[in-house]
Order: sequence, then structure tokens, then C-alpha cells
Amino acid sequence: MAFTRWVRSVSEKQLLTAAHTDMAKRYGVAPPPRPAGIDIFWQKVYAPIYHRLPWTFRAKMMTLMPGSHRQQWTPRPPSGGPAV
Amino acid sequence: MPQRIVVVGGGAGGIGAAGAAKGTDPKAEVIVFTEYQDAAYSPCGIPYVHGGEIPDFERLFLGTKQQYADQGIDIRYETRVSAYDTAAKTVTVAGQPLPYDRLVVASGWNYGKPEVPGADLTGIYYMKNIREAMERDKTLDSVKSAVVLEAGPLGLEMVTALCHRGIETHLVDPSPWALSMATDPDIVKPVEDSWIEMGAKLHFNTKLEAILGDADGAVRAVQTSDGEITCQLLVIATHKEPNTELGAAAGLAVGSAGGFIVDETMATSAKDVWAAGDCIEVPHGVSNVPIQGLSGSHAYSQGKVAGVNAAGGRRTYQPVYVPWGLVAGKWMIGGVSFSETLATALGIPFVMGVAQGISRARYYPDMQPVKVKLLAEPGTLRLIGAQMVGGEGIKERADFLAMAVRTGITLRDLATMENVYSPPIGALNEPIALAAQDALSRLGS
Repeated sequence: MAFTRWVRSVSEKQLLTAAHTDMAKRYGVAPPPRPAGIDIFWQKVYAPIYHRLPWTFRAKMMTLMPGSHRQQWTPRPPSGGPAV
Repeated sequence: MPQRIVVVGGGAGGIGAAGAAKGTDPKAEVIVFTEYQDAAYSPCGIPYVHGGEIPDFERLFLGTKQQYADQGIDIRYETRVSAYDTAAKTVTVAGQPLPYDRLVVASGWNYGKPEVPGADLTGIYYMKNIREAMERDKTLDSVKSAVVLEAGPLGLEMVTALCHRGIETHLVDPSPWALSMATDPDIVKPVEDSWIEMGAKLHFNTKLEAILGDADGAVRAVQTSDGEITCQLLVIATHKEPNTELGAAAGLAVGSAGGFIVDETMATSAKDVWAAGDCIEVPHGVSNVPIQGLSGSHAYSQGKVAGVNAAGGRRTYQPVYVPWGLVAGKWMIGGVSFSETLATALGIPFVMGVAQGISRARYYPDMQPVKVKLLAEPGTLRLIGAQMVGGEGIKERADFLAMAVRTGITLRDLATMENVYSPPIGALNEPIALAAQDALSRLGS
């Protein structure tokens, strides 16, 4: 698996797990099991650091990864409001 | 000399491409390769045949084989393409190179196979191919207990279907609630409660450790972190892995979501090669992050774009906002773009509003609850996502809210929206408007 694919795949899984823990607390459902092994690093170090970074920086990092988003996608012209 | 357009894959993307290519250039020779006995059917309908809502599998076919032949689309069934050579412009079939002028790759996806002992036993159902579905359906009446592995969209539908068949159904999922990658615990709770009413047993935060077989090599149970569960059928509903092996070997660029990189015309990194469907990735319209593994309607639309462009026409696709919806348990559930869970995971800032409304006039028979949750960008209040659960009217609201996200509609627009009020089909107060008003109220606005 290419490195960027691996980074994204692991990051998604771990950030989702961290979100599950937050949401479980918010909504009173059973949270995910406590992390074990290498997951302790991802949950206790990576996820908190990720969330402390500004959203603009994180968004920029995501767009730097290889992907279809970096190809030509012509934006639609803005709406001109209701027709007469 | 008519151009030869080769399409690899006979699913929604491939058939969409073939039809669009032929429509754009009627003189073109269009050849579709599929490794299966059939092409052009709706795998999305399979759970509903298993559940008894649809009476037979024949209804799932979009057209007969003769209809495609009559349209001049040459579908080669049970014929596997084993390699692409984008420099020589050939595909390899039965060991022989077949030249093409234009190639459309619609190679689809495969299930993530559980990497546990026993994964090769019989009685494990990867629900995808209609012929296998037909055979499985004949045996369902003899199944007393089944396990569905993972609560993705197909998993939700299969839990519901198997309950309808009177089978003791166990859902095993390592996540804390159903469809947790796409929805929120408060939204999915009515679904989970209704499954329990229907007799299903839910095992969340539970990992599959092994698949156990009997003396004949058939599944007899699964070993999980929550103990052993007896079953005669294990339905795999894990995440969809894009099928990109051949394309990647041929040099087609693959992105961080695992799908082929394409542009708005579905063109890949190789000259005269387009791709569509679950094997590609496309940008999400709000975050601009590429995503993969969308619905059959996305694959079909992408296929049409790829087919038109491969045949010499011009059509473009757009970033996606992902309206989704399905029936699970006794409820309809759906959403658009981001859930509260996903926005929290990515750390996207948002404001939120929630409302519990109704689908018809309060006094009208069969009136159903409809809960709507809206997420919006702080400051501008432009909508970025929505989640819904209700008895009816979810699909229409999801479609509408996808356009709302796409066009930058704000909570203020939604809070003051007009709505149809007609007792059998619409309530006085539209639940979307109520949710937007709730969000503004929380902001003190």
C-alpha cells in the first residue's frame, strides 16, 4: 500500500475512533474499548495533536496528498438568484 | 474505421459507460468485459429479495442480454481481462492482447476479506453477485442463525432482510453503533431498537476473531471478543475496497483514498483511459478531500460521463455531496455530506440544530416522526451536513439538502423556507425548517 494511502487509512480509523469516544460521552452510549498497543500512541498522542492544529493547516495537509481533488474540477458559476 | 471502445466491468459504471459511448458514437465498436455470468443488474436490490419485499431476482436486471446485443453493445460474459497495456493500447484476454482505441476501466470493488482463521469455510456469503445470491436464497429457509459482519449500508439492509425471513440474526461490529462511519448514535438508535424488537442481537465494540467450521468445512459459529455465536451463515458486509490492481500495475495513478485518480471528465493518468465507479476517487464538495465507494447512482452517472468522453464527446462530473438513505429495521435513515461524528473526527468546526418533526398533518393517519439534524459552518451558517431518521420522507429531504449544501444555502434560508402543507403529504411545520430554527436559537440569533 502506498505511503499516503497508509497514512490516510490509519489516520481516518484512529480519528474516527477518537470521535466515537467523544460522541459516546455526548450521547450516553457505550464508548469504544480502551486503546491497547500502538493504538495508545494514535489515541493519546496523534489524535489530540491533530485536533490542536488549526483547521486551515489540517485542510491544507489533506489537499497536499495525491488524489483526484488535485485534477481539473471546474467550479459551477455562482447562482444568479431566481429567474425573472 | 470505427473506433473500438473497450469497457472493463459490467456493473453500473461499466454499463453506464457502454451505453453512453454508443449513444455518443453509434458507429463505435463497444465491447464490455465482465468476469461474471451477468451484467447490468442492480445488486442493491439483492437484500430486498432475500427479505421478501421483492418477489424474485429477475426484476433486478436492467435489460436482457439480447437488448444489449440489439443496441450494438458486445458484452463478453465470464471473460476476465488479466492485464492492461496503456502504452501498446491493449487489454489481455485469454492470454491474447486485444487492441483498443479508448479504454474505460469500471473494475468496481471487493469486500475487505476478514483476516481471521476459517475465512475459507463454506457458508460465508460475500453478497455481490446475483447468481450467488440466487443460490444462497434457496438455502435461507434452512438457516436458523446468521451473523452479519459489520454494520455498513449493506449490513444494515441484510440484518433487516434476515430478520424478515425469521432468522435469528446477530450483528457483529467492532464500532460502537451501526453505520458509525456515516451517522450519529442518536440518529441510528431507533433503527437499533427496532432490530431488537425484530429479534436481532447486536454485538457492538465486538471483533471477529475466528470463523469456526464443522467436520464438512462449513461455518458453524464465529468466535468473537464477546464470545462464540452459533450460525450457519456468515454475511460479510465489510467496507468496499476499490479493485485497482490491474490498473495500478499498468501505471494508472492511485490516490490517497485508494481509487484511481481522475479529473472531471473521468480521465485517468493514462492517455485514452477513463475510469468510473467504485474503482475511482472523487473530491468531496465541502472538504475537497477525495473519497471512494459511493452508491450505484454515482457509479452510473460517472460511467456515463466516462463513456461520452471516451467516444469523443464532452461531459463533466462534479465533486460530490453524498446524499444517502436506506431502510433499516422499521425506519428510514439518511443524510448528506458530514455527520456530527465525521465532522468531529476531522475536526471541522460546525454549529448544529436538531428538531423532531412529523411527516404529515398531526391528525392524518400514518403520520410518521421525522428527526432532522443540521450542521453548518460557523459565521456564514452555510450548510455542511445533515442526518435524518424517520418513518417516511427521508430520501426526498436528503436529495434536497444535498443541493442545499452544494449551492451554499444557509441556516437562515432553511429557517425561513416555504414548505408544502397538505395533510396527507406534509405537515404545517417542515422538520428541516424547525432544525434550522433550533440552530439559530442556540446561536442566539
